[in-house]
Amino acid sequence: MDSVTFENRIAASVSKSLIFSKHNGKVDTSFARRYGIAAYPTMVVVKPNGDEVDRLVGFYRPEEFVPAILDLLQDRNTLNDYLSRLMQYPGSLSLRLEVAEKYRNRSSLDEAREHYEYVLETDPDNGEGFSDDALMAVGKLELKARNYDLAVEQFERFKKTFPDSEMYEDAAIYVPYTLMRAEKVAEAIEQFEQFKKDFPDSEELEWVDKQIQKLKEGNN
Amino acid sequence: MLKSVFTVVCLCLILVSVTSAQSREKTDTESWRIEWVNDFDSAQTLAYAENKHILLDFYSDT
Repeated sequence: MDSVTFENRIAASVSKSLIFSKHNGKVDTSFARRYGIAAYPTMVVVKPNGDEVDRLVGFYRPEEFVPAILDLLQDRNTLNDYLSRLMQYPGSLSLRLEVAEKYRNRSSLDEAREHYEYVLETDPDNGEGFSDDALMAVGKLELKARNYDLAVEQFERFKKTFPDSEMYEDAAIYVPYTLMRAEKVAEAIEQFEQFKKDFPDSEELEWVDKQIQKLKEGNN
Repeated sequence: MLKSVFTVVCLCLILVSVTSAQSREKTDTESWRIEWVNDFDSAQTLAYAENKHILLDFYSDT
């Protein structure tokens, strides 16, 4: 962010509306924990008393950064905004998914899980097209929380429930990847080999072969 | 003689013009560059005083 976005004249134009404060999350760990920082870079906009307004997670180019910050300063597309809109339209699954994502970004995993599960229970056949996103997100959420067995369960559930989804291949590769993270070496190798058979044209095959080799050499 | 004076005046004008342009560019750059207040207590004090929000940029160098 430093060399591209914060050094950009347009992006810096929002500096008139904000006080900028930089923190190395790996050094100032207690401060990072206070704001539930789970990925870098993360930019959290807070009120002077330290209460969070909302956050941007990941890299933003200057042309994305400025409108996103301006939205945030006007309480547009923030968690608070989505929660207000959800009060008005409680049946909106797209809003429900947005709220879940916001909670996930804040590392509020229980709240995120609750909203993802609501989407899955409300539209189990994925008629509105949000349930596959929700289930994939639940799997990743469990993976992030290092609940490896639960994560594998969710990715397997995905494969059974949404075989026609665009994310089917992703779910399939997350199974051995999660097993590898869980240090279940034999199962991970077996599942990676299965992936190669199921997806012989996958762009991930080179990466899969590398993981198998690493697992066999005991370097995972 | 007149020609020499004219040359010196021209050179002076060019020098003043270049220096002024450089100075203007420097001022412009400084006016939009982000000022970081990395101590959170100081950032809070400033935010209260200027009625602004604070952007906390969390980064990792690993």
